[in-house]
Amino acid sequence: MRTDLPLTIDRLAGAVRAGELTMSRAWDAQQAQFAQTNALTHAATYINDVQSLPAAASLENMPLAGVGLAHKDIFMGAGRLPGLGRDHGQLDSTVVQAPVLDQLAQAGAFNLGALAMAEDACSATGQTEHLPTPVNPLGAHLAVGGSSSGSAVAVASGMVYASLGTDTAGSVRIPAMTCGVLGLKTTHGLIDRQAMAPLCPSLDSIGVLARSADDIASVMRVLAGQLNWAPSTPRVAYWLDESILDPAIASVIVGVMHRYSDQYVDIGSHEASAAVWQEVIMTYEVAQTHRARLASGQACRQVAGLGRTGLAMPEAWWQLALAKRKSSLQAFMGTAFAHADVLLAPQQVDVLPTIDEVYIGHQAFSAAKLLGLHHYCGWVNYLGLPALSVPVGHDERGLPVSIQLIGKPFGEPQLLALGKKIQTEIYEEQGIMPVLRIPR
Amino acid sequence: MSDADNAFKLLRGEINAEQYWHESGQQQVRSAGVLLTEQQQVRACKHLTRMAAAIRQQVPESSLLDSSLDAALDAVLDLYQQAVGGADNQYAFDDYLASLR
Repeated sequence: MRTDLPLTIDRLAGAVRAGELTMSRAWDAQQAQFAQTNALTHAATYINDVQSLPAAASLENMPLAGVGLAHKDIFMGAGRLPGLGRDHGQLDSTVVQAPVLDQLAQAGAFNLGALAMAEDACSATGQTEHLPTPVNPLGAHLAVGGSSSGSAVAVASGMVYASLGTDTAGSVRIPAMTCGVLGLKTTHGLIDRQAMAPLCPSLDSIGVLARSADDIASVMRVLAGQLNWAPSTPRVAYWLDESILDPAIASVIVGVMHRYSDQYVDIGSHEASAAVWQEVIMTYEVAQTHRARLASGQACRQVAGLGRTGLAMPEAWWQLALAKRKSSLQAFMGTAFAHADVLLAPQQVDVLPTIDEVYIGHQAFSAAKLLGLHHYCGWVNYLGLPALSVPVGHDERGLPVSIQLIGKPFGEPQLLALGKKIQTEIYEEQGIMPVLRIPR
Repeated sequence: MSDADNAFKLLRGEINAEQYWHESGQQQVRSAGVLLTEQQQVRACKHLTRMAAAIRQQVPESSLLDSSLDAALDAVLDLYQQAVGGADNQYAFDDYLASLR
């Protein structure tokens, strides 16, 4: 973000509403910065250069007045079909904008463009076959997680204040982790998914990435104003299996968990079970969603790999996984949230990998490094719960280390309240702020 | 033998993934208009084998002991038949989740 623009959503929108900054100036400054930075990051697949400005008289009712956003290229735009990581999308005047983008526009936000993603949202990295891979602002040699890869890069590099992504098995939380920003996966079904390309309808959730918990909350209040946003001090429990953590990051994670909770809960069996059922559902639904592309040989490598098994898999297994979902959630909540509102849980298990280590086909490719990116993500999608990826410190190389905060259904306000507390306290002590990183 | 019967047999370990493939899986894939190479078929069977083993360990909720395997799998069968013949499970969970709001 340009240094002459406020650093947070609330301050920018406040300046616009107060008349200190016009909508036109806000648009011009942010659009120029978006395009200039994109030349370095390749985070955008489409740049919007025409913006219709809302009437000035209505600004006071716009919580996101003049705020520049851009989103994963998975949503129908106004007059534009998304590219889905396959291409740059297509302009088509008959296409109607997705309701979730409408909500943001009505709140006064600008849509600066569409952002890169793993093809068909089916990969834990930003690796793509047909489009440039976005550059991680923390270091060009570092992997960018996926599938909402462009969203994380655009937020971390200051191209936008916040971005919508989607999360089926970690696709918001993983890129947030690799780029050192925050990523919220929302409760399944909380945010309208109409006019959004599905991957696995039973697991897909829309999420928000931003540099601060406050910025995510500003967007979420628009998208989910019906939740209870009154200030809260959530009760916190934690779960951890230290044996799986790389020693280079273990002390950071253990330290933060002990600092914010003295209430250990063992949810290991729930996590293991939910992870199995999540894989069953994902394998089956990827195949059903992309049946036509599998038949025509057009499916990308990741979809084809899962889809071939998914087509052969018994439908009854999928039904079984769905049938057990409610009781699995009830059992989990009875353990994790018996005396807590938020569960601290591991997300990152190893130091951030390099591109070469997780990009399939490279000589240095490590399956363990790739699996490590999403090891602790999918089970949360099976249970339908909200989860917030938060950087909580850094390793010896100065790269961020993240954990995830897991909430009760519709507990997004509590997650963001705790996320803000952790971010404020730890960042102030350690002097790390995930802002304005520009690729070197 | 129906596809559902074969699916359950695979889950119980009464047939292996290759047998399942020949009796059901291959036809399902073909009817979707997809032909797999031998290598792709081997990978799919490995994936099915791994998933069947993982599912078997998760039902019932606690780890299964050999001595209780039959009873546990009978419980799976009940749930399984309920799932196949029952309401639309995909939306039932969404409705339940929404009720927690």
